[in-house]
Amino acid sequence: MINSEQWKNTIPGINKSDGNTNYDLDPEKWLNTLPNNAPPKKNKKSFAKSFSTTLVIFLIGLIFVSVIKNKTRGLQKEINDLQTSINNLKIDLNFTSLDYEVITSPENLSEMAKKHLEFELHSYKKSQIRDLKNEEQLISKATEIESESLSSIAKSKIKKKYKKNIKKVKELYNEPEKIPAELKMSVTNNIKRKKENMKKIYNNPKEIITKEKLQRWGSIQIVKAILGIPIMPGK
Amino acid sequence: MKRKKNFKKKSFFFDDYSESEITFSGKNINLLKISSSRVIFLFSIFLILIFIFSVKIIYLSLYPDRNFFSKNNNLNITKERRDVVDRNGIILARNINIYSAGVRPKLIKDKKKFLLKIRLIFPELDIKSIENKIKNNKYFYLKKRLTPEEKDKLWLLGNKAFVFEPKPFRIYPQKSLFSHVLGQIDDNNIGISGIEKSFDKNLKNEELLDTSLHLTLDSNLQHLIRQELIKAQISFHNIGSAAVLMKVDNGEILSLISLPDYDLNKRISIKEDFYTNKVTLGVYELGSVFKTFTVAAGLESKKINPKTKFENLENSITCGKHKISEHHKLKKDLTAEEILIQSSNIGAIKIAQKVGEKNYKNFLNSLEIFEKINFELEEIGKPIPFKWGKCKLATASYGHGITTTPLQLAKAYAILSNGGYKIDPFILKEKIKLIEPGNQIISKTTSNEINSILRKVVSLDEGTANFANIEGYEVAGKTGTAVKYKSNAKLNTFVALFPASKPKYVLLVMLDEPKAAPNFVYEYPPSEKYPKGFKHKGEIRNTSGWNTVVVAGKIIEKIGPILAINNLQASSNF
Repeated sequence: MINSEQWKNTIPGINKSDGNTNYDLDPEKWLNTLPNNAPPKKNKKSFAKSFSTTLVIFLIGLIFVSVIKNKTRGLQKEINDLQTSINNLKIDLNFTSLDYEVITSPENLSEMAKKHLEFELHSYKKSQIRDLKNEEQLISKATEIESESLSSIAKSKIKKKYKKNIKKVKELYNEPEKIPAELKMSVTNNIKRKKENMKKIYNNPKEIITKEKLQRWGSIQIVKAILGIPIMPGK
Repeated sequence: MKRKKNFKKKSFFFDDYSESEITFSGKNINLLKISSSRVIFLFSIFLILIFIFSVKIIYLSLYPDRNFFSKNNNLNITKERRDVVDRNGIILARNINIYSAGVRPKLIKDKKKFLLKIRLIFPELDIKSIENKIKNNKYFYLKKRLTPEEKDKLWLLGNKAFVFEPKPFRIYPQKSLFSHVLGQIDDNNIGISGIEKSFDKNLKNEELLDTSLHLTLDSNLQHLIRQELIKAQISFHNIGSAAVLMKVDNGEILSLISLPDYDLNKRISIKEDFYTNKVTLGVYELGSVFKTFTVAAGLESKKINPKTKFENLENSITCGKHKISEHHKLKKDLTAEEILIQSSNIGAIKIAQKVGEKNYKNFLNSLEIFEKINFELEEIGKPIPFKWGKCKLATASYGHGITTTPLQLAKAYAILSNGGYKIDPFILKEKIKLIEPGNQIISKTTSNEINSILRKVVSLDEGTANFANIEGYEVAGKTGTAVKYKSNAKLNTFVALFPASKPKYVLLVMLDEPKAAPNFVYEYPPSEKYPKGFKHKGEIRNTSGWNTVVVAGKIIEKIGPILAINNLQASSNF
């Protein structure tokens, strides 16, 4: 047979020292064991905060990464396009240089010369070729000498030329009888004419400006303006 | 009731609050700390991604060649073989991609229209066979190696059935000018002859693909010499010819020609002996050109000097079964130099006898005439082993029964004329810098004496090579006329050195089986015997002096100015 009392006595707090048996559980006993701060309330707040910051960072990161990736793709595309165009140019250059070699090959050139030139091509003879080295040396020496003596030569030439002229002038000045009569006459006539003109201008300065002269001056200024030449004020 | 309710509530709270377990475990971990670590984790992932893309941008900008996506763009110009260029950078061989047009019959919509268009573009193609191929419904090649124009025409048809397959193709812009030197490649980009074979690995070296293989050859010189050899073929009806122009002081080859040659672009199979590279592979008995070595051996061994007189020379000598005689009547008393100038067979024998077999043998061995030459091309001939016997010294002294290649002969003459220094011929330009001065195997005195005697062979009226006496170039040289055993035909050779006072170039010209040219007008160079502009026609002699020398003279006249203009100094006066 099962003894029910045997198990009853094992429950804590049942056997009291005063001898009264209390079969009810004490709920306060467990309540006191709970922590003072209420975690569920606080947890809800921090979760929302962390979620929002994570979301923001995620979104910012997403945008950043996508922008950088797109930039990279764009760059890559650009590089590809440039590479393609470079390659195309390289191919063209390859073919063009080959064409050039074929066209300018000695065999082709001699054939073309035979076909299209009226005269036959002849090779130079040794006698026709000068010793460039010696020639160059001679030229360089000559230029050196020339540059050194140029100024002195020029001076002496000018001196010689003017010396002769000065001598002549001096001779004529010292002996005016030697000047030919015709030359004397032409010079005196010229002087007379100039004198008369000067007198006219001095006496009637308005007479100098005629209508014809004004018209000519005006037309010249118009032409100048058309051609873009700066217009000079009238004298 | 109240109690019950409370009990229930508490028990519910106790079960549902999972964190309480942690709290109760006694580990005081802050929940906020957990969320911030997550943020840091996410942030770091994004940071890593940003870093990766930034690295990629930098990488792309620094190494555009390694851009994986742009690799497809390089397909069109991917080289499989290096360019070959001459000494002046003129392209001799280059790889390009040539397209072949393939057809996928399944994609042809209107077959009649298709055939009509093909007939318009390629009237030379057999339309019936194309029709049959279309009926077979299998992929086939319409035309291989399309020209750019043909490719464009097909492409403009816009038919999806066409497939353009690029294939690398080797182009030789100089056509046949360097055929024997360059050689050919097969369809698998493997060199099968010439430079293409000898430098196959080097030409395919991926690291060097953007650089060119420079040769020492000069296209202009090559063309001028080839032209003269072709003209000679018309005048003297020879079946073939060869020429080599080389610098005597280092062995640099400027021109190497062997006729007949072939257009490398036509890709024909060359199997006939007819197309042998006569300069390097051909082994010939070259005749009197060997007399120079006999005299040089005498001078070197001090047994003779140029003025040593040989008196009472017989008209003929019998050695065993062989009767040796002179080509033409000569004086009975000849000096050593006269023997060479007038090319006396008996005189050469007398000198060789004076030198002795051992000395003569050693001398020829020092010039490496009997050995296989060390040269860049694989087509190299090996001289027939020479067995020294009773009459061999006599026959060898005037070049009878002794064989070598023209290239080795040119090399031996270069050594004789350059002061006696050993050289090895070469055609790779990069070797110029690497070459070290060779051993002196012949004294300078002997070299100078030989040069002055060889000059007399050309300059004196009694010499055998007057037609090569081109004004201004001081040409020296020696003729050789050999007779072929089987056909009795001639093989005429002339080795020229210029300028004789200090030789810089050796030019060897060889005509294979030339004929007498009675219709050829010989223009004599001015001399005491012949006035300026003296011409002669109706010559029936067929020795080297009457054909090879003439050709060599014309070659020197043409190439001399180029050598001079290029500051390569063709004449000592320069």
